[in-house]
Amino acid sequence: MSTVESYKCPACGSPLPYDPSGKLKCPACGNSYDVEAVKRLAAFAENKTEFKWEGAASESALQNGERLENTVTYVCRSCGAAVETDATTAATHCPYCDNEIVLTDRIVGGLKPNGIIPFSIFKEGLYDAVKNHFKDKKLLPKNFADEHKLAKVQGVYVPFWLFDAGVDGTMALNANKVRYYSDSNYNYIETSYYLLEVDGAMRFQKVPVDGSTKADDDLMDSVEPYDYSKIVPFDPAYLSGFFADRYDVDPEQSRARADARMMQSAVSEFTAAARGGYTSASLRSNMMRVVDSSVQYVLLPVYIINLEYGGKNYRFAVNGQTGKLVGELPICKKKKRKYFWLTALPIAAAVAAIVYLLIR
Amino acid sequence: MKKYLSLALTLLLVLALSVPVFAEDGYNFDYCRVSDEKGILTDDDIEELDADIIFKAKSLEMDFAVLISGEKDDETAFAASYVENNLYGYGADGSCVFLLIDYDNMVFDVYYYGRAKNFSASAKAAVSDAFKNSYNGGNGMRGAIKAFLAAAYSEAGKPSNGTGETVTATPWWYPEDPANFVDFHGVNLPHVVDDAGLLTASEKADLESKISSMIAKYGYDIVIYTTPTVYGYSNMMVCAADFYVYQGYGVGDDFSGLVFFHSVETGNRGWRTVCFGKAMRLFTEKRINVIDDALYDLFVAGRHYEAYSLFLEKAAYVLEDKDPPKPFDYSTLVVAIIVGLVIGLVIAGMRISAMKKKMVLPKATAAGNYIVHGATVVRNITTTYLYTNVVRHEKPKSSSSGGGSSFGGGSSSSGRSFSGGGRNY
Repeated sequence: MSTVESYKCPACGSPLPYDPSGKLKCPACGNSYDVEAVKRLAAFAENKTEFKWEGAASESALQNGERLENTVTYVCRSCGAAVETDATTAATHCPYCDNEIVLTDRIVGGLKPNGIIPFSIFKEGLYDAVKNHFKDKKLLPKNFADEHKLAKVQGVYVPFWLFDAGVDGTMALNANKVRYYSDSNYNYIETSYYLLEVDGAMRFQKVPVDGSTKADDDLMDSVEPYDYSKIVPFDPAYLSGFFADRYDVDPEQSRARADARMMQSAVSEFTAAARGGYTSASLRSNMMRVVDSSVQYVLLPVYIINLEYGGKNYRFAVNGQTGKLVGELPICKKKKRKYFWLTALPIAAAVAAIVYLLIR
Repeated sequence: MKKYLSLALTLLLVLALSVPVFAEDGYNFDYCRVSDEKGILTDDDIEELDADIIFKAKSLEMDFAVLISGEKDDETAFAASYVENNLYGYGADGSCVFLLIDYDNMVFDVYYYGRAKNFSASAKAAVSDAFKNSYNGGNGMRGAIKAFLAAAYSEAGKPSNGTGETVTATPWWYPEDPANFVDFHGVNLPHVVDDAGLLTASEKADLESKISSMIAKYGYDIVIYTTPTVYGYSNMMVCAADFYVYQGYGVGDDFSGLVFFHSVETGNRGWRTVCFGKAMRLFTEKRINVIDDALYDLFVAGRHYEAYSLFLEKAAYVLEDKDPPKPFDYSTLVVAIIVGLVIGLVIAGMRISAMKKKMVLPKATAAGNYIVHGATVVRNITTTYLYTNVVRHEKPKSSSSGGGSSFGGGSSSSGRSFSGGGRNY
């Protein structure tokens, strides 16, 4: 028994029967299609994404890795964060949640990282970075961040997985061209639809994903980029005065986030390359695969600031290398109202005067 | 000697007495046409009505007279005697329409002499009804006499076909031989011709004074003409233009000036500003619309004197080649405030939204910073055409919008060009 192939109309989704002309003709919307075109379209089912990793990006390179030595471990009573530092550094507050932490040396030292970017912003630089960032934030409450509050901030080395990977394969795009024309009685809009198959490859280097559940993923994604040329081999001496968080998210678990970021960039790059001459183009399906992947474990410097306002805790991160500050700031309602009416009323008066003079 | 002196004096006296008989065109200007033995009318009313009758009589070549008196024994004989004794009547046949009011009994009658006898029955009824309806309508004696005169003028202006029946509605100011009409400059013309009886004597005098000042200042002729009828004209502007031309209004070789025409005829109630000569350039459609906007409510409310005064005030700006000021418009102000508030609130909302966006830093969702430059390769792009859709929209057709306003130009019956506009209400 032969298998009957059935296709759906790309325009309206109705079943497409064969027409005596040799084409597939939709009885609902009247469009006719070449058989080959419909077959190619069906091969790229919409929203089909097969973004595959080939090759492991796992702890294999780290399985026999060295452990940290001559470090002490602090555990936070509130959030459970376990941070390590050298034996000379005293700590009283958790760098993540600002609650009291206790010293314990019963926890075995964590895995030794492949590299570290040392802090190049210190306390004074931190104050300047924060002030600089806040100066044009007109809705910020007064005295939200002052030096007294910032004095308690501790720098922490956050564990990151840096993924190197290549992306190779095909993606299909829905594209169209729109043409406008008119005659004496009508205005016409002509839209032609196309399937674009883009075959190509690209490479990503050191895509960072933080390896700590304590570190807020959105904050850690936003605090980048780091200058990776400044990565140096790890030495516990760098921990002096700072903490290093232990990773508790392994590379396998971090891969999904790396996937999402690389796929988004790949779609954007290939769409831009293919859409020349078309009015619009959007992703139909993605059949790319990740190849030649590897991963490194590095510690990257971050200041985590917790400030309270209006009964709510606001957490910020400052890039310990570049001074970039990220995080959601509180909005002073009084200032918001003030700026709103200071803008609305003069504009309303000016527009009312102009409208009155024009239409009277 | 004494004999010759007496004879000379007698001849002089006879001549002096006979001059009025042989006055211009057989019309005696000296005697007042409106007499009020009952003291109903004011002196100003009498003077105004009299001047109006004399002015009309010359055009129509017919006399008109009014007497408010008490009861008479033989009214018909009294009327004939009164007309004769006061030397009323125009021309050799003494054409005259005489209104005799018995104020004691509140009755009246109209007597026709000379060519006025040719008025048809319907014409006579129209004249009588005009007086009766106006008085019963609460317009007072003055208003009723004016309505009587307007109807009498109208009927007197209609050409008769010899059988006493009128064939067309011809205005009193229409020439007998329009085909051979020659443009002329009238002398001592009134500048407020109130055929419709909408103004008191003092209002009319005030408007005359204002117009005289404006004519002296700006050098354009100005006349306000109110009429109870448009005489069958299909275009009010042509009616106004003919009045202006046939009465000889206008300054200079191009007869520059304007007539503010106001008709109160049922079904043709409205006003027009009609301009001639250099005034055509000044009174643009936009300026006339501004004036009309200001006048509309006044006319609807029946505040005619205020409307004419306001017209003259606005016209003064235009005669100085300036746009007349627009009145304060509350509804427009409310609309402007609402539009201003909406736009102000939207823009303020957008500004606050932009300020709030600065307070939240976006997370990096892509890996654009980590693409290895030069390593991106597009090996192949396959394009497959699928189908084409065509959607069409019918073009909107332009439509003319109706309304009570009109602006345009044309030619009077004599061929003189004019422009103007106005409204009906």
